[in-house]
Amino acid sequence: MKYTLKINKKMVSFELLQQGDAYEITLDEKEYHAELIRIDSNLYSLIVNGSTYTIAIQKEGKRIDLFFKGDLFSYEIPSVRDKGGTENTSGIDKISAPMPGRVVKILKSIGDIVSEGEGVVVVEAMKMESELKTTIDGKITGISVKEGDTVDLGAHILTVESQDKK
Amino acid sequence: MYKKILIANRGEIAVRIIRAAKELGIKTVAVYSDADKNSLHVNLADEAFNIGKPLPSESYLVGKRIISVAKKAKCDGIHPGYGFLAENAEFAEECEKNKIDFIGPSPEAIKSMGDKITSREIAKEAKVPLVPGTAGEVKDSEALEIARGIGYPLMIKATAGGGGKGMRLVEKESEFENSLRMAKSEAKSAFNNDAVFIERFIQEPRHIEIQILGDKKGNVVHLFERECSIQRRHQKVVEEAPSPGVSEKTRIKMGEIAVKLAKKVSYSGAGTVEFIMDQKENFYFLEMNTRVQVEHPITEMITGIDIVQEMIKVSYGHELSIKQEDISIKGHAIECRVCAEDPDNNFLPTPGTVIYAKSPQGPGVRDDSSLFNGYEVTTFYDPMLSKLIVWSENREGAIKRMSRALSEYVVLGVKTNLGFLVRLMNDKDFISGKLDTGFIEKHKKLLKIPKDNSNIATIASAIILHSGIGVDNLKRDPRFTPWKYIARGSSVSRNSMF
Repeated sequence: MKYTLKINKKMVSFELLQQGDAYEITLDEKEYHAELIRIDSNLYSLIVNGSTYTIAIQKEGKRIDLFFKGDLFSYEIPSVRDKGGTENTSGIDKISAPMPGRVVKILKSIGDIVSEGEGVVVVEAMKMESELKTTIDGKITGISVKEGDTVDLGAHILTVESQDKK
Repeated sequence: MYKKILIANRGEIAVRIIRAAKELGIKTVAVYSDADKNSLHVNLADEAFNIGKPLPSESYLVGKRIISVAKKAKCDGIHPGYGFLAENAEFAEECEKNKIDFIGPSPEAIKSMGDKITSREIAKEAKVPLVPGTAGEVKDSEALEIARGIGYPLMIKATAGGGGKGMRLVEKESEFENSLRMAKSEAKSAFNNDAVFIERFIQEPRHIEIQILGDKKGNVVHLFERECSIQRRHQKVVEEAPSPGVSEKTRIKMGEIAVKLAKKVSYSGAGTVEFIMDQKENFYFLEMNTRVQVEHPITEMITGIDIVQEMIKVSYGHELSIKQEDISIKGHAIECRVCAEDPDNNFLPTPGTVIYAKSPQGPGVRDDSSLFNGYEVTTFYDPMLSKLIVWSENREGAIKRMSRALSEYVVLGVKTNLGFLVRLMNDKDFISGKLDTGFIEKHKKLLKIPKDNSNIATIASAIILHSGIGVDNLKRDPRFTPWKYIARGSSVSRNSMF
């Protein structure tokens, strides 16, 4: 899939292919095999062609701040509806548990139409309830849990699929 | 010893002074503007009082209000830090009138050393070397003869000058008459005053300064030099001690001269005598700073002397606890000023909110900072976030340690100069130690983010973007623990910021 992104006010283009947990990325006619793993709330380990790099990432609204070797790289996440610039994404939002917890309430049913930013499920973890939201417009196509279930970190909860005709 | 002192400052220096006072068993009072309510110095002090609006002229510069807080809180001393009221002789006098000690030199010492012309005269009397030149206006008829005496290259400067107007560099005698005419006419149109003076031009100057400490009993010692030649916008950004360009002979000479000058004005407290030095170690007096200096920690690291605590003790009337012969240099220290600014955009400040900050740790690392998650970089105050200081046994070790420590630093939310500082620490010219105040100008490539680093950032961005769900939900490997992360570090080639 081809992407164009404006990082630090400069346009960059790349191609990306997902292979399981890893990605094949083509940038400036060079190929990179890469994987990104979260270490703690803001720190990530990026493995590129066998070398590891530590990167700090913070999302602030639509802006992503990425910090590497002392420099800050900022970009806006292009909206799904934003046809200019980006040929987006898989069109699938697989929502999973951000931490081990309990499903308190499922707010939608299969077949419901949801829009970006809408809450779909409430989970409780560490005595705090939080609402998980979809990041795309689409239809609920799968729910893997029921209310009251306990979920492990990373467990699949719900899938939203974009209804755009490709 | 003092019972309670007020710290008339903010940011990292307020934190530094509070720490020193606490270690001396002194209670502390912080003052803060509306913009600093959530600051670290407010949090760390025993008491804190609001003194007004964010603009310094409506809070930190209002001496009267600060003194009335000090009286209300029953403080017996006020530490001014640096900047704001630190070199304000009237404020020091006001403190005395209200029977509160101003922790710094006497108002007379501030007055005489604070004024450029007076301090130059005092320096001349004390036989401190000055940049050869005419202190005042030169007459046209004598100018060429005077220029010959000073030697080339030289500078012609407008007496009313500033901002480079009415200023001319003259390389050789044949250019002199013409340059003089142009400088004068420029000065005339810029300042309506065509008076100029002549001064020797110091090529590739280094900024070298001597830290001194004096007590109220007439004892003055020096704590050797700091090199502060790495500057941007005429402000220091990296300092080190000792200087790689100062020989032992020059070091002793400079130290003795600084002590002589301080004694001349009965100086007490911490002070800094600044010199400009050429590459052949000829040095000339620039000015004296009658306060604690931003870069004081590097001197503390190489001498083992707590300058802020000494300031407080001598102000109370204690004799200096150290004699000159007891002070020696151990190892090498470097300080980097971590600032919210964009090196690739003329080092302009980058106001905003620090969303996430993580400071480096490990052997020999000190971070004098007032940074926390949520810290606001405002346009009211200096954009300095922290002073990262390292110590090692020698310069080479200190540079490597600084590079290591800098690459552990994480600041999200605002652009900083961290990347530039990392590149500087790895620059062969910096490592070689041949420094001058024009260093950054001559090494502009250090201001740019290297392509390899942008590529890594782009690859990470690509993955984040493709996961389509932003960062919050990015997959975390449930089997993943920091232990595995550390272990993997040793099994694959490692290039991280840690």
